[in-house]
Amino acid sequence: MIPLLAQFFIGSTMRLALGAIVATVLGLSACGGGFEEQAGATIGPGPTASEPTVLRLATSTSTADTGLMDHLLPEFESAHNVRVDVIAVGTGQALSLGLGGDVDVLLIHARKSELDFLKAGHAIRRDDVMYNSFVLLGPRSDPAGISGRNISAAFRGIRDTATPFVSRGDDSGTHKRELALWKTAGGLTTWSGYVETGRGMGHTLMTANEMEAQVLCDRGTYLKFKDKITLVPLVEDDPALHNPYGVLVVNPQKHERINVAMAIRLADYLISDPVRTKIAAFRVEGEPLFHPHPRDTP
Amino acid sequence: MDFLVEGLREAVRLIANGDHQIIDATLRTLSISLSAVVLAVLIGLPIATGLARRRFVGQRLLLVLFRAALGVPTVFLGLLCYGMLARRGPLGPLDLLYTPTAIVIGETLLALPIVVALTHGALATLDPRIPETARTLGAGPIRRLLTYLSEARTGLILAILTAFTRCSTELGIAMMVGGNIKDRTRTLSTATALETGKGEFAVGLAMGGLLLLLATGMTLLVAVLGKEDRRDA
Amino acid sequence: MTIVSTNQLIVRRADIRILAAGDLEIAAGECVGLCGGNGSGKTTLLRVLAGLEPVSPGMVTVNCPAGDITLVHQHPWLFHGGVLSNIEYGLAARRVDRVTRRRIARKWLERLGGSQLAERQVEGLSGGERRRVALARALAIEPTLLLLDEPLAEIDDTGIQLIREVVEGLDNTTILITSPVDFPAGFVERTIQLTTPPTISAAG
Repeated sequence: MIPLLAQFFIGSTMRLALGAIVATVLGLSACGGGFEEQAGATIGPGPTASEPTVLRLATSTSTADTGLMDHLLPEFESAHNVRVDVIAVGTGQALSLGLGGDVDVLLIHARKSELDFLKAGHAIRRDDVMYNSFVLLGPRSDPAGISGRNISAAFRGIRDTATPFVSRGDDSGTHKRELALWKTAGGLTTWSGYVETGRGMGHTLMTANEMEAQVLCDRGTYLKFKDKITLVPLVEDDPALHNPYGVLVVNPQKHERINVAMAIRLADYLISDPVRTKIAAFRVEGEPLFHPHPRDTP
Repeated sequence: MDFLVEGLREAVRLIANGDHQIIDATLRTLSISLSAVVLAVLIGLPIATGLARRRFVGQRLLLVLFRAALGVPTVFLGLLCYGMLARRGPLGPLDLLYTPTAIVIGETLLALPIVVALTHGALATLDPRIPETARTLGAGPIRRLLTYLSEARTGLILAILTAFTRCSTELGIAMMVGGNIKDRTRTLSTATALETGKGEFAVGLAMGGLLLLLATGMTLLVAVLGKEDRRDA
Repeated sequence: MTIVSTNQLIVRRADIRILAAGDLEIAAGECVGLCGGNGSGKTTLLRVLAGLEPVSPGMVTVNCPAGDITLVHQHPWLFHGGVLSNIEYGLAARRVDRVTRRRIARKWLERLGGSQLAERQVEGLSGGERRRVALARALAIEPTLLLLDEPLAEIDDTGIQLIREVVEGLDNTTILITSPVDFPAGFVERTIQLTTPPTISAAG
């Protein structure tokens, strides 16, 4: 049997087989490493001193794309010997992950959904962290004549003039805000120029740019794409465009491996004074983006 | 758009400088996809040989199912795997979600129909003289099987290459069960999607281009190692 | 002892008779030639004896274990790899050790005038060279019943001479097909003439 196999592997086939073995070893070591760390991090009484624990944070893609997490997390990670896995998905999916107990903490910008989540008992704690604002972008020519108006009037104007408007259409924080704004503007009856992309903010923005349409965008993404598009802000600085971010600690009863202790520490960290200063000092393309949530406001 | 030209220039610059993101994503893509293909071969080869050399009830149906599975959308597979691996799911206790292992599992499922269907095709179309010669020379079942695999090697190699290309370029599975976590589960395809979504088209082009290079490189490597057949029988 | 006997042997494929051999007897140790025009069923007869074609029970009796019968195809298939490893194939299947296998393989290759092919790969061999290798591969396992389908095609005169010597020197039973035109005198002890079914005749 052995000589038979050996004969089979002589020559070029042998080299292929060796290559496959090397590949498996490579692959399994890559996977095994991650798996061991994961397992070591969340089960048992506690890891050894040198092994970092793992904290899973779900956040929206637009938040992750600003780079704020990369800016804030390293200090937290080394201070608490933790590795924070940032999973950037749509807001809806982030909530779903929290619901299923697949992540330990959420940082999203959909206040109503956050409060519902808390009330339903899926989270044990919620804190306001920071806010930025949305901005309504559109072509310089301002076909609906809405520039400078308040956002409610602007939305009304867009609907009444049936000018092109591109929506996220994906249940994200931005999309939820857009729907809320339509409601205050008297409701949304779609017209042929109302397009839903079902995609992330960047893609939606590029689509709107190509179509020379109006679009509701978060300020962070706008700043990053500013020099790639011809659309300009038509309405900004309206209180209704206020975009607050909240951090939620997932209820540990969801699953025994929720790292609730570390999640609470992260929440505390995000609302701590030094971090609030960092958030305020954070720049995207040279411009300020986030404002830490005021301390005294309930 | 002239981002293509600017993008290509930036892409070359990034690769030449050995940008950390890119190296990390490349190595990970390689190891994950290679593992998935190896597993798919270990599982799929026996299935394919069984389908090719035996006759049994349901054989036809099984073959049709594997062939149909060739066209499965990766997002669908990703969703399936997520459902299985999530903490609420049946394999939840294994805590595999958002690890490279989860992506390997998903990509193995992706590669399996490819390995089975293409290997079966190669084995089923072997010249009938091959089994006749092997039998009349007295070869036992194991030796015969190894002989058939050896004679069908071009088809086998094609199956493996196709499976690897499919795995290394897929996005749906890596996104769903990997989570595109920086330095953990970010592959070339998820990184490309991320950078593109951020508007970083140059980096996106670089990674996409690398992916293409990877697939091409694999093909060349196998050609060199395997010394292509030139049969004139 | 009779090694092969047939009893009203008829082989059909899709309702067409492709072989009608009637009653034949071949004694152990004979070297018999099979002749016949196209479509007379010569190849089919060999395949039946090799166990590669199904027949109704009782039509053919072969007094020889199946493992001791070998057939060399009209257009032999050589396995991917080297000449020597091909010749050794049947020996390896019989678990002969590596050193002995190689020795036997080289011996037969030399006897058939193919020593110069020893280190070659099968790719690139000429038709005649391939046939020598295939023949050596069959001879190496010293089968009790050797079935050769047109072994002399594409072989030059020297080669034919060599093959004749080798076949004559064998003490097994050999049945071989070749066309009457290049049947050298004395190559076989007798010939069996097959005609396109339904009739056959045997000439001694």
